[in-house]
Amino acid sequence: MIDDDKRDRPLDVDAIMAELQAVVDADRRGVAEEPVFVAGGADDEAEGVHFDMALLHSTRPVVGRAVTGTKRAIARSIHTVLEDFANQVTAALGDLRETADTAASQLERVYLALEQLRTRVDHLARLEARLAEIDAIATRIDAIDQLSLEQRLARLEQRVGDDRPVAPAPPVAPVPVRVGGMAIARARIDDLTDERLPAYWSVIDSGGPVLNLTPGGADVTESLTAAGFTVRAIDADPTDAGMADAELVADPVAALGECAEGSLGGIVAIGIGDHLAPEAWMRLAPLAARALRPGGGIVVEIINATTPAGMALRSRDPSLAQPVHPETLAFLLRAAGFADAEVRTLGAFPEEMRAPIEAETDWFGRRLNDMAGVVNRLVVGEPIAVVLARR
Amino acid sequence: MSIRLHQLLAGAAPGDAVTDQAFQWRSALDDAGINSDIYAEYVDSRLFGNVLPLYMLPDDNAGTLLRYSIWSRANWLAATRPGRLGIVYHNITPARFMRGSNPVVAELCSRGRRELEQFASRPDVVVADSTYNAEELLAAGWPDPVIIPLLQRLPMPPPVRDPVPPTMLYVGRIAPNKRIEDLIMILAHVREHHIPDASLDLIGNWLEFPIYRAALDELAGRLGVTDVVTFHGHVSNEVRDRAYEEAGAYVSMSEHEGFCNPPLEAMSRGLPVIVRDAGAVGETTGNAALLVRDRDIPLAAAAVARTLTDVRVRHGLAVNARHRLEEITPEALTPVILQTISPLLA
Repeated sequence: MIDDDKRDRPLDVDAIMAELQAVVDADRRGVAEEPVFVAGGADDEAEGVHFDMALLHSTRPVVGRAVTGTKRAIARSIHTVLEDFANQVTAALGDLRETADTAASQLERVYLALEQLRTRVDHLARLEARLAEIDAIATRIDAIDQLSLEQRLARLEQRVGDDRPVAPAPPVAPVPVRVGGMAIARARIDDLTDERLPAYWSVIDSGGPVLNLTPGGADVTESLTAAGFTVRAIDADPTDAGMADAELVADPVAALGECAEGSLGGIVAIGIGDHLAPEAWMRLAPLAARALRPGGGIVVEIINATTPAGMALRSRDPSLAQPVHPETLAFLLRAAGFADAEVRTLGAFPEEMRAPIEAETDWFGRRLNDMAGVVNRLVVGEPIAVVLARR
Repeated sequence: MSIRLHQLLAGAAPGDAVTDQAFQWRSALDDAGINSDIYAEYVDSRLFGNVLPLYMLPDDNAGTLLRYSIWSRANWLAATRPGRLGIVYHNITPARFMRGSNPVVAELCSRGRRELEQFASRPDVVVADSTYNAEELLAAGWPDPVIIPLLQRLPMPPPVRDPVPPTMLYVGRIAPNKRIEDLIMILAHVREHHIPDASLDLIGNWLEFPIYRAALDELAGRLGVTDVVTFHGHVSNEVRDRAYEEAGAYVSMSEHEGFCNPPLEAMSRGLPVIVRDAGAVGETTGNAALLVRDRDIPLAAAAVARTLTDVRVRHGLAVNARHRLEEITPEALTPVILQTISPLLA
């Protein structure tokens, strides 16, 4: 039992523990110091093999203390013998721990390297996917280039090879007229003459008269006259001849042949070409070359049969003969002795009807512009062509 | 719209001290009108609905309170949230204690300690549940933490019993850093030198350390105490409290503790407490326990025997326990908690 006045008294735990420590220490002195086998570091990081004498305690009744004492005596003997060995094991474990630490450090670096490698592999995989996309784009662009090259080759093939040396031509005034292609397609070709004609006359030599072969070409004669040329107009159609104050002839080409050699300063044929049969074309070029004096020029305006708009224009007049390609006409003139033969086209479509050509910013933009150029030439090309040549 | 403070844990399970603290704080915050849902990376199925999985954490600007006790995705999630961050440091068991028994948990602990320094500049509020833990944070470069002991409502010790059964009781995880082998050796020593019919009851989960548990069985067999050492595993709070009330003394030789709650639970049920003075244990118990320095088995055995046989010692310890428990009542701690976390609620 405990006195009531001591029930609420706090306990001095330090004193109690000191008292117990003294008892335990005395007991330890009585049985000599207990050896403890420790292999491995004493620090917490490496516990090693800890063998405590408490493990030798015997709980057998009656003889427990004697058995424990015997065990401890044997353990102490073993401890004495094996102490050096234990120290060596301790040192070896220390070395082993250092090796393990080094290995762990290396392993950590390997893990880090693997992580970096994995990141790079992922990056490469993404790059590979991008390359596949780029390959696909390049293939499409190659196809576009091929198409563009084929178009350019076709144009070149249209130009008949002319390897003869060409004398430098005097400057030719640019054609100022830019009439919308759709407007041309809806109108008669005669509606176009007034504005563009003066630009043609730069190829004509004023030293001789000009033969006007234009059917119903009163306005042409008027333009030539206004420019100071002496004009002789001929026409195979009686009505047109009357209206144009022209000589009525049965065959304009034959009439050309009747002109004296080197007598003409110029020959003008606006629209007549579309009324001529192929054999007449073959005759016209050499006859013109013969009739023109050196320095004289010929102007032949035809419908540009290489464009859809030009063909639409042709289809409006069922009297038109087989179309002639402007380059073929230029070839015939060159073959007949003309020093140069330039083909120009007229009647550009308005910009809003053409594929846009953007400022060339990069490689892909240039490819797009090439394609747009091809599209414009093929689909909305100018419907009128004029061949200007000098003798 | 209520004020919110999210609590983030690595894992939540019944009987886990960190989980219990999250619940205790939630209750206290709730009384103050603060909504505090608990989110954990791993949620024991028995807590479904009570604790939410981490992926359900809303992407809002509410404050976050991370309970840091091991490495977890919750740590990084908390660090990268936009709102204010508070961290309650519960300490991390050094990996060396468990590397041989459970290398997975050991690695998580090791990583938790390695990354401790990276969080130093992030939190707006830092709490440690003991001076021992606070010193660890200071050593890692953290700002000066506020020390708030574990929040719990414990009863005051009942009248001292006399006589008491010669039963030693341990409550806590069966893990290497708890030094359960020392308890078994103490029992053998007590039986040989002091009380021949002494026994040892161990309450706690060993599922994380099955190899360690097998080694303890082997040791008990070699010391001839297998029949008087009982591993009860994890039990309900009711069974645990009954064990406190029926045992003769609480004993622990744990080598590393950031706070250590079971000694407080034991003394609140009238049990004399004998514990190793390691980590924050001495700070937790104050003078309400007999503290054993180092791994002195005979001294610990003598202390156990003394408390089991000397009613005056048990009376004195009960008086000291009452004073200690009065210092950490919820009424004393809750105002400190609310003031400490107030920056997180802005």
